[in-house]
Amino acid sequence: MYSDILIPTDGSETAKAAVDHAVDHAQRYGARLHALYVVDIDAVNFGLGTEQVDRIRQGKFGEMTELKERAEAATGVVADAAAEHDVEVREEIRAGTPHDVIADYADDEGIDLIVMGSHGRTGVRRALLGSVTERTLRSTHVPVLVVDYLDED
Amino acid sequence: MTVPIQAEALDISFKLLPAIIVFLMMASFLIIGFVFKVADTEGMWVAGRGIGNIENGMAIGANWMSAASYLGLAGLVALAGFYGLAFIVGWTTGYFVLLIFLAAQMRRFGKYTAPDFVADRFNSPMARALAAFTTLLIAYVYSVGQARGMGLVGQYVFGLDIIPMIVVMMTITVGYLALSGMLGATKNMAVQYVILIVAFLAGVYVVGFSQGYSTVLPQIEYGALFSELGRQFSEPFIGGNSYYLWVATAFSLIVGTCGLPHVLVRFYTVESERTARWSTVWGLFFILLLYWAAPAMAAFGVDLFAAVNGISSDAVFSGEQAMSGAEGDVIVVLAAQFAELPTWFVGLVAAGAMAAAIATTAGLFITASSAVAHDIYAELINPDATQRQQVLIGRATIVGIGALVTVTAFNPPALIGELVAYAFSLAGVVLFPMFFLGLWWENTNRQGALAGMTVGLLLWFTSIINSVLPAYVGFLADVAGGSGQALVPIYAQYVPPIGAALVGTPLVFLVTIGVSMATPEPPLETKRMVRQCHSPEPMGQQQSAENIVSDSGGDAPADD
Amino acid sequence: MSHNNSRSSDDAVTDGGRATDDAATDGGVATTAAQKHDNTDYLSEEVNLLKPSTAYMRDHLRIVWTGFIVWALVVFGPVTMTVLAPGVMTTTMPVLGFPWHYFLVAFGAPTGALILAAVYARQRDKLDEKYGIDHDTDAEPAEPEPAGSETAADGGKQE
Repeated sequence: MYSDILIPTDGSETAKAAVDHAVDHAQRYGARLHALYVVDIDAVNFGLGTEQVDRIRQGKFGEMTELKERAEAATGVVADAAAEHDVEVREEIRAGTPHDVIADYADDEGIDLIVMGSHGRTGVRRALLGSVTERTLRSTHVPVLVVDYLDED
Repeated sequence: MTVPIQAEALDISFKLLPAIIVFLMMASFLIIGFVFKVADTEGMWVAGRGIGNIENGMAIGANWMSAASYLGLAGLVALAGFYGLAFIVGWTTGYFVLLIFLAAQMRRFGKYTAPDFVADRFNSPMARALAAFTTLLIAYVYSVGQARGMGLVGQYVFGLDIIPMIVVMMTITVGYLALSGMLGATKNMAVQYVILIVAFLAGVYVVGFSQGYSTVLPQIEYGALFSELGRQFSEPFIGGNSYYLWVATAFSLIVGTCGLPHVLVRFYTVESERTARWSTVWGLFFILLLYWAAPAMAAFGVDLFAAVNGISSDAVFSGEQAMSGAEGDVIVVLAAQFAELPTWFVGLVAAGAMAAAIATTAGLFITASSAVAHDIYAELINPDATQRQQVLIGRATIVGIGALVTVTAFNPPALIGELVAYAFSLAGVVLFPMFFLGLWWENTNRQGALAGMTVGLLLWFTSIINSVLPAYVGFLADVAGGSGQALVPIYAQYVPPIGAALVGTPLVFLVTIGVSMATPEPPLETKRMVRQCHSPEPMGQQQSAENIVSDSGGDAPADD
Repeated sequence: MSHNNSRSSDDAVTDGGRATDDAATDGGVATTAAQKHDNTDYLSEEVNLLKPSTAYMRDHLRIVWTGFIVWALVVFGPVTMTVLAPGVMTTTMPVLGFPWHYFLVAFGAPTGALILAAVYARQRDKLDEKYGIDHDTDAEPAEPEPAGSETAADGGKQE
């Protein structure tokens, strides 16, 4: 059923909530796991300035150490979990508008299932911060498994 | 200064063609920004075609094409005569200092924002906070100058009263950012530059030609006009604009150029130090294309003002019918209007001014948003900040600073050029010493930097409170002995906000050096980072100074 | 750090990989500027604006200080002369019609700065040539990023 499973991650606890589910599915179906970190261009723009977006566009992401490390740490969490279960994993880092990049990646790479964490926000917080997961849901026809992140307390 | 500003001579009414031109200009920037944003970034790992010297130079030029250069400069030259030239000198020659001392070295240090540089160089979150605060303040003051320009020129195109005009323009600016934050992308800025310089030079050439002032080189030919202009146009050191003030202003603008956060971060996107250097040379050339022509426009405007109002050339400068500050600020558009050029053409010149102001403000607001979202929030307050949180905070900052700027611009304390100069002197007093000493003296340490920045901020604030606030705050005005007077006249004379850096910068240098010498030296890793910035060995494509130092056997710089 | 250079981290000399017993580093032989450059570990030499410690810095700072002094004269000279000798300075230029002081300040200073800037950039290029530094090729090639060598941004590590 599934030969390629995509787990987008932004390094947050919310994203990590989905890792176990993704790895488990991959193991059961013998699927390859894709760990994708999307550098949010808007965040780079408003956080670091448009010049930094320029830098990424010029292909110099490799010298932007802090950003690169954060990305690699996020996908690394997935890779480690996959390693423990002998699951084949591919780590990817892309840049753009997260839900668009995720949807494009899913189409380009023939993804069969997307597994994402969600904060389950409601109300004002949801309106302000939005949900990449929800937007991804609406951007793709690939099946999406949403794992809610529930605070322990 | 407490009545709404109005440029009496300006033809204030809604004009359709100019309004369409404005929208077309803004739309073109928007489209370019949109295309830039959605273009795929899969090539993010492979250094593709870099940005060339000329394109970078145009971006540097575009950075400078603000309401201050486009409008305020000619205004100051027209109103303040020889003193106005201090602004021409200050806003151009500073690039040479930037070139020889900072451009290439900054490129090698390779960080993201100015507060980033300060934080990593001096191992201090506190220094980051101070630098971020200063960045915000610079963006705020600089933008008030732009808003004033938008409001005044907008009146020509849209015919609204000044206050609604400012609100509308600022709303457009903030909305603009919401739609496309990518105005600062190099390609976009190159296009902006071309549009703006064409609009400006077209104004100068056509006014000059139609009035018989000039043919092919108005930048030189306006010399012939001097015999007809009042002597105040060129006479040196009149009306309280002393030699000291001239030098202080020029100096402030020069060091301010080298201290502005949004100027320096531009060097992070260049290929190599060599590109950094040559881009700066080209940048200065592109800036001069405007600055050579601006005094010509001022001369034309002054002469036309006298002719149209039927007054003598001297009466332009003093007396009942003299040119007002607001009129000076829009002399570029007024000259075209007085020359009875077609409305669409005057509108083109006005549209250029508005586009310049909006683009500059947008860029400054992004700088402000990064200071809050990245430097203050993500680095200092919440290290686990998600990307989406940063976006939200960045946007909120933009709305906030937009509102603040709008309200302040309703009743600004000074001319466009003066307001922007206040921001420059702040940059020159607080940030320039940190950049310079940080890059050129490896023993500058955390305590020295903190002491220096604090002293600098205090000096600038007291200068503003002393000279500017009495015009606004009733009881201060009483203490000062009348509105428009300074609290402590001698302080205002030697440390005016417009030229505070002449005293401030050396003082901050002394404090920073002194405190650094009296306290322990910075760690070896930090020193090696500084040395790396001066090493002639070309850095690999994927390296910053910190990387190279760490890899050659040191530990990463400690964060105190 | 996930980021390595081709040099090993205990290489004492950051000279781009030349072995320490290379004949060219033999002391006592008159060295050219380029060889001096290759022998210098720039990270262990103090950077001091007033006391350059390497040959390269000496040459560089000479260019910098010369340029700076000329710049100061070009920028602040005319206005200072105007305050010292206003009568002379405000006379009208022949042909162009500007008062001298106005022309020197409004046109002379900015243009002078531009010329100085171009001269500086050119001199730095020549300095780089003299020391055998080439910005277009990487003297210290960074290890290609796991993803960097492929045009498809594949950051993948296969399990």
